[in-house]
Amino acid sequence: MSVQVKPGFIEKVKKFGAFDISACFNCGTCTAVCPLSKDDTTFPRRIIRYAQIGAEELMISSKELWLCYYCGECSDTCPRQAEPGEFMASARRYAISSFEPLGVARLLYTSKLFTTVFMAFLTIIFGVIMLSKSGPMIFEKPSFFSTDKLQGFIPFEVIHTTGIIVIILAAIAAFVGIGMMTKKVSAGVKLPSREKKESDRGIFARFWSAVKYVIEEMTLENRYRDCEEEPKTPWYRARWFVHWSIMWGFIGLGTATALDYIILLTVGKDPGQPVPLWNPPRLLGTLAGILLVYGTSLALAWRYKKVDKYHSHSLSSDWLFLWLMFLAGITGFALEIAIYLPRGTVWGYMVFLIHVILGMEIVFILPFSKFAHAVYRPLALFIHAFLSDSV
Amino acid sequence: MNEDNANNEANLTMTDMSEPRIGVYVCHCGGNISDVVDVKRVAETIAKLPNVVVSRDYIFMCSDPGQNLIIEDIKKEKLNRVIVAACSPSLHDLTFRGALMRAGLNPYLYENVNIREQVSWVSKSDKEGATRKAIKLIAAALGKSRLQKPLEAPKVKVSKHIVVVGGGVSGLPTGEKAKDLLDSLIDEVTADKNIKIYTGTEITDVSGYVGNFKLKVKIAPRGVTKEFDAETEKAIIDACPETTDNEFEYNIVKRKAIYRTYGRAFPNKLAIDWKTCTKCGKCVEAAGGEGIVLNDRDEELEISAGAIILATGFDHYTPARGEYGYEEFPEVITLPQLIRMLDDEGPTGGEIRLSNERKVKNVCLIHCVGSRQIEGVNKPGPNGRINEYCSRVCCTATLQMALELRKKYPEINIFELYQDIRTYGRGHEDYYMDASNEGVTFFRYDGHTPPVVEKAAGGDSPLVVRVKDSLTFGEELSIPADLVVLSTGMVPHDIGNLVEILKLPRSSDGFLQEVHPKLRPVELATTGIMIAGTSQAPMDITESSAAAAAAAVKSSALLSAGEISLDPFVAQVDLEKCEGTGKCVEECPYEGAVELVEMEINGQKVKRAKVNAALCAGCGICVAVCPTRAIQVAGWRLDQYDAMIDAFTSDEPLDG
Ligand SMILES: Cc1cc2nc3c(=O)[nH]c(=O)nc-3n(C[C@H](O)[C@H](O)[C@H](O)COP(=O)(O)OP(=O)(O)OC[C@H]3O[C@@H](n4cnc5c(N)ncnc54)[C@H](O)[C@@H]3O)c2cc1C
Ligand code: SF4
Ligand code: SF4
Repeated sequence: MSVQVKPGFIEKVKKFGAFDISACFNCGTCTAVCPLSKDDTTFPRRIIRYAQIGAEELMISSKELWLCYYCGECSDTCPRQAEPGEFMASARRYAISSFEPLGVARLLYTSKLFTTVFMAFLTIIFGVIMLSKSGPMIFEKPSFFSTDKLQGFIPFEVIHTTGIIVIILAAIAAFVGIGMMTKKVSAGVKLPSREKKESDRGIFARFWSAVKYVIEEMTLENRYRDCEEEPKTPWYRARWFVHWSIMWGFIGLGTATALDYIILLTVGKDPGQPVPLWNPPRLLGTLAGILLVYGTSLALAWRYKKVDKYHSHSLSSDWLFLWLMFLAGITGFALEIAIYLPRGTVWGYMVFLIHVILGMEIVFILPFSKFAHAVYRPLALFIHAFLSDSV
Repeated sequence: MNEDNANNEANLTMTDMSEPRIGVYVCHCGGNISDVVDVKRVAETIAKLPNVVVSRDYIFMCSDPGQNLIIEDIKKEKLNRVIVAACSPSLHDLTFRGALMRAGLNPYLYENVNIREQVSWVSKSDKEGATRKAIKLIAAALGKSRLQKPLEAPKVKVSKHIVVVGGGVSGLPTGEKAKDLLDSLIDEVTADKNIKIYTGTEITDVSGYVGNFKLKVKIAPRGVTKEFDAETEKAIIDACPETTDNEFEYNIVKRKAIYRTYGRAFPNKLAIDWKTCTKCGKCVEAAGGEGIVLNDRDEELEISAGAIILATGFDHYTPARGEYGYEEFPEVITLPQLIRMLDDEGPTGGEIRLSNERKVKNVCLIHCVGSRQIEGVNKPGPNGRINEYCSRVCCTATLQMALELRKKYPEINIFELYQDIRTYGRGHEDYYMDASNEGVTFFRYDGHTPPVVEKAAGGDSPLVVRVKDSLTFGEELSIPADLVVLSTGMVPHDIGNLVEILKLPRSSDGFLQEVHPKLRPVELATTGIMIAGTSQAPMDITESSAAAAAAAVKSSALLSAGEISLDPFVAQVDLEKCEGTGKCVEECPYEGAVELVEMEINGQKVKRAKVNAALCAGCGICVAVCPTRAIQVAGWRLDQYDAMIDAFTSDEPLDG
């Protein structure tokens, strides 16, 4: 069976950022120099080729898409300046938006205008919801939220219920995406000539080694660290560490929130009350917040300064992601200060409002934006490890 | 006669030839020879042989000090023969003959022994064997040299005219557009008083030899003797009932039997195509009975020339019916056809127009059609040949056309199927780069699995091109196509009887073949005949012009002195032995080189062989067939061969 050539597809991918890729003449230099494309993988060239011939299914179902961390060595070496690294990023954006049936992801990636309007809309909606049943700003002591409507600024129920709804909506969208991706990637739209390698190990053994591989990858970022170029930068300024900080900062904050909720459910403390610094959820939250702010501020600075290939082609989705995270972190710390002030302040309550809105937004757009890679990449790594048995 | 030769003859009489006094020089060739051959031992061994007066080795014999060594020895030691054991005779025979001449010796008393290509280079691992072989070869040359007589190069007067056959870029003296280039070349040539142009000609016979060729030329009448105004011309053409394919437009359109080729042709006049014309007389009527002559006869002309330059060019490869769907589907055309269609002055006014008027959305260009063919994969053409060569210009031309298509039709999809992109010319790689940037999609096939053009099973496009694409990891892909363009390459132009008349050597691919690709790149084996441009091999305009300039310079250098010296190594008849059997005449491959003529010997009228030195190539076939040993090649006489064989078979000087 032959593969149908569908002209014009590459133009669609270009809308997601890969503006230079037409120049590619398939020399394969990018694949040869890529420190991550090893063994049986042949990205970026393979993926570029799929895009050139319009093999959309082959492209979005490729596991190799997610094995790339955009080190940028390919882009530095490409004799045609086709920016293969940037292409891979665009292809991932394209894949994310095609796993999302509503089309919101596509618009967030390709339209600045939509992004602005959409985010403004979310901010207003969440703001209106939060303020709809708001209590008084109490100045004798700071009281941001409480189960008692008159004892806090925003009633706990409002935050709680909205939060749960947002999480459920995001989870549904994420699961649809995960389902689509799993189906596509693992069934693998296979090229007729690409034989599937059957592992001789049992399914459980493979499952566990794949899980182990993904966890190891997330904690140690082995692949990302393979990216590092000469001259060596100190670890705390390395790209992988910045990525690691943002990722674990985010995960840490999520865990802290969940932990706080569990304690609330089990111990039954008043959620509005300040807790001492050593309180486990608080401690975790503070540390994670430091990581998040550290990572996002460096990443933002690098993007503004365009320090390298990777940081030179920023789309609105990149800015949105980093700014949301950064602001969430900063407002979180401001909030900590406000909590310990002897008196409540107007700015403290406003910061709180903003912080809550940002939190809602981050969770809400998770499946539709750059955040989504946090779901898709580990999943792809897992499927890759599970099926190809190459780890 | 130049001065050197005059001195030479004068000196000749002074040289005492009675006793051979031979100088032998063994060259190191800077280690090329001496690293393998023990040159000192060779020179010392040879020094002991009879008649050897001096025997030396030297690092570079061809250098000025090396040559001066010879000249001084000739003068001081009264040498009357010289042997240089060095590289190939084709490299330095002329060098050393010149040295002999400067020393006042007849240049043909020089003998070469090739101990580089024939000894050191091929016997690197056996130094002892190589040294012995070098000694043997020089000893044999000594045997020949002892019997060598002074020779005189025959001279012939030459006609200072050059005939150029073919009026393409190469036939006319030599970035911009080829059309404009040709325009300006034509203007230049027609304005030159020293150039006479004959159009519509056919060479029917060529006789003679370098400096004295006689060409018989037939000129077909144009049939039209007058310039008509545009209106009358239109009426005349409309009146003609006979139509045929317009070959200039690669048969995209038709033309009448009375026609004008195209606006830029020379001469830009009406003409009648006699193959199509039925002499019905309708055009004569439309012309008002004047200015058109239907029963004109061919004009016969004889031209004499010192040299002939063949600039007869190439033809476009014509795909066989069914080759990539050619002539099977109306959507399959050739690159030249596309070029004409996209030309604003062309037959379709610069638009793609298919015979079925379909609109074009997907265009597929297939490279290497009729070039780089593979035995067993591609069918041989009507001439029985497989075109294994690369036509060299089609990659660049195809990319140019892809860009042209993109410019004219920004919305179409362009696909190019190539084997390799060979944009070898200066700046041509830019076309490839631009085509990529303009969104042309490339596919790469292997010559063993060429693409297939088929009717599409469904979809919007009538055709589908299937290709096993190595860029997609060997996958078979189906490409939709509304138009398939075959990048046809070059084939040798059929110059018909000229090949026979001039005994033109052709290489296995059918193009005319030069004597040596590097040393004599524009000359044919027959002295005085040159080749220029694509008659020799596929090349682009830049290269064709360079080749044409080379051929022009070679020809004028040959003829400028008004006479030329030929090689003296030609057959000579010993009239005392010749019995007039005519065996030599029967076997000689060069027409007119040897003939039987009547002469009187001892009062009797007899037929005897006579050699025409200008036509004899010195091949020696006559020597082999003469029953009475009456014919010999000067400088390579039979007694010299005997002496060489004696030297080879004797134990001297190695083991004696
Ligand atoms: C599709 C295509 C595109 C090309 N594009 C380019 C390009 O963009 N740039 C470039 O540099 N080159 C290009 N080339 C190459 C270029 O066309 C040739 O290099 C050039 O035409 C060679 O010139 P020529 O004089 O050797 O032969 P020709 O142009 O073939 O001229 C030979 C002439 O001799 C005449 N003739 C032949 N036999 C006889 C005879 N027996 N008696 C009298 N007259 C005779 C012929 O009628 C013809 O007019 C292209 C070639 C092809 C096939
Ligand atoms: S992206 Fe660049 S390096 Fe990679 S195959 Fe294309 S041209 Fe070569
Ligand atoms: S120039 Fe290109 S298209 Fe033409 S024969 Fe050579 S490789 Fe093929």
